Amino acid sequence: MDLLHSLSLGFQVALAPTNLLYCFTGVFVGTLIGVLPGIGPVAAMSLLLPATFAIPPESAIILMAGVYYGSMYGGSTTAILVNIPGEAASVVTCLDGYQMARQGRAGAALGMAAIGSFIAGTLAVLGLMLVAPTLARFAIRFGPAEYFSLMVLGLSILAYLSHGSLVKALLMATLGLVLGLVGLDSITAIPRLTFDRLELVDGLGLVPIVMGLFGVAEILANLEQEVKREVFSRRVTGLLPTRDDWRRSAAPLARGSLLGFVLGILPGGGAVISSFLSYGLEKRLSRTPERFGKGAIEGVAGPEAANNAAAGGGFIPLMTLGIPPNVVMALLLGAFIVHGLQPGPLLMTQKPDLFWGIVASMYIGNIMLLILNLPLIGMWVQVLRVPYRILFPLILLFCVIGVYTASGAIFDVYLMVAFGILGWLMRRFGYEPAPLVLAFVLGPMLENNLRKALLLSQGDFMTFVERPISATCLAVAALLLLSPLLPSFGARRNAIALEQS
Amino acid sequence: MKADLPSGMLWLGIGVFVAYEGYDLGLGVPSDPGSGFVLFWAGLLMAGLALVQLAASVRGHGGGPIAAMWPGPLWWKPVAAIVALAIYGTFLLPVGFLISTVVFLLVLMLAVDRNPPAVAVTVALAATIIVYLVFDRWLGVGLPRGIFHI
Repeated sequence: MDLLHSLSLGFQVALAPTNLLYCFTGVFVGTLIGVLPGIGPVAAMSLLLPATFAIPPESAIILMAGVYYGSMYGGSTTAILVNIPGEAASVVTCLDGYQMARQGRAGAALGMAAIGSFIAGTLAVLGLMLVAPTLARFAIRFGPAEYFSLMVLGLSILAYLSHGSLVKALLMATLGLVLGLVGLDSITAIPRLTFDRLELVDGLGLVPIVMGLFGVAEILANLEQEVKREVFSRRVTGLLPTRDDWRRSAAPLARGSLLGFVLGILPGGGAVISSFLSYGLEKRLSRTPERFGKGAIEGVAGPEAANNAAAGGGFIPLMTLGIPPNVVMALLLGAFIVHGLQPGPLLMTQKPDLFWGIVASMYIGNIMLLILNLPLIGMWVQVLRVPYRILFPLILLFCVIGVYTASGAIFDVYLMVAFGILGWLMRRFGYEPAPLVLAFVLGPMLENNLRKALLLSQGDFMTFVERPISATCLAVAALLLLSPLLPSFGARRNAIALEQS
Repeated sequence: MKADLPSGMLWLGIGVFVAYEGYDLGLGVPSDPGSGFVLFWAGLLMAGLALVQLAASVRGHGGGPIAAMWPGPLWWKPVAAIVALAIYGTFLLPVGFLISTVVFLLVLMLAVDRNPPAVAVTVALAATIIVYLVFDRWLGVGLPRGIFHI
């Protein structure tokens, strides 16, 4: 009964005309961002963050969340029609989706991606609704030691799942941690790494770092290669999958939803990894694995369900523990904080209208996306025909304006350019930006909890291993970080990395 | 030379610097860690990881050769875009949003990439006006007016 009461409260908030408008704007912009290659949900959400300063917090979070799960939908359109992923989570959809389009089945692939995304997104919201209250009650018992260890575990999982060198991923996470500590110490108010620059006293901004690493760097990398986009020109028809398509896709949809939801909850997991693992799983379980890569609809249904379910699952650790499991959720945490809110176990009791309003808006957003995506596919195809030589200056302009409007300081624009160059060079040398950003956001929280835990235990480091939850998190983190020394674990990590690359 | 050798040396330098800064800020005691406590250990961790990377690259495992990292014939495009961004950032406040943005977009569309001049002018003007109307007039963000007050 409590759940139904809470949900009805949520729907009252989500169905308010202004929130409906923000939800629609979010999913529309998200789909557009997903469709356009070269700008992902992270950059788009950074861009929109300053635009949300003047609106109520629940509307701001509804808008930003809509951009995220909307981009998951939109990414598949580009993957299927152009063979270029609109965003990273749609990379695997290219493999079979584009082959289906070449065989004249673009409509079925797009339809399955949209309907599968809807089913998975809705299941993830149901899961969020059921799991979040339990986890929040459990999380109230967490102390600083548990929070510290959980953050260490999150960063370790992210480093473990990054493709390429584990050492490089850990270096990025350490750099992010250090960058997160720039500015005044929150306990002693001593300036750290500010080099007597007034602009650094408040610390580095999340928006310029994210825009630089994910927006500017992406454009710089694209500029040095001639990207040929061949938009599928035949008329897209037959959007509803056939009975045979449904028969083949039902189980992959269910498995993808479950896998994505679980991986979305885990710190360090997320839409990209879950879509890759879902594809690998379906290929392994299939009686005809040779069809994969040649237009198997299961190769579209499973990963699309997984990435959408992960998008929903990712809200659980953020809203119940206050810990973002991935970069997108780190940005949402930034949005919460900007609006004076602290997500965590008390959010559900102190701000039930906000919590359940966001949950309810995700139901509504998923329905909007289904209605929006299928009839508007023709429009998205037209958007894809805009040449990159026109798009990239506009994206750069939006990056500059987004950063400038967030702080009103031109220093942040230079900071963004610097991180853009850094991100561009990092790609060349095989470094991934995601561990840096997540560690940057978690850094101050990690430090605070470490210091609080040591204060409470009077300097006894054993507090981290004497408490069962903390000890478990640290043990798993240690296992992951030492995995390259264990042949079977190392081989598994390499297999995941190979699938991703 | 392996690509990870110079980057490893850079990391080592950064790690040592961060550890020194942390030490300089004060480590405190375990029961009351100081402002530099986490920085110090993060710096040491970074230096340690850098040494692992350096050791791997000395043994020939550290990524591809550095020459392979250098881009192809279009390397000038990202460099030109960076220069354009830096100049735009410099002139945005004194010249104002409207003029500097039109010039910035024209440079990107005509010099960094090749667009027909009519298309470039139309897109530059339209995008600048739309962004101005949305951010300045509708959202009330307040974009720079510059010395011309426009």
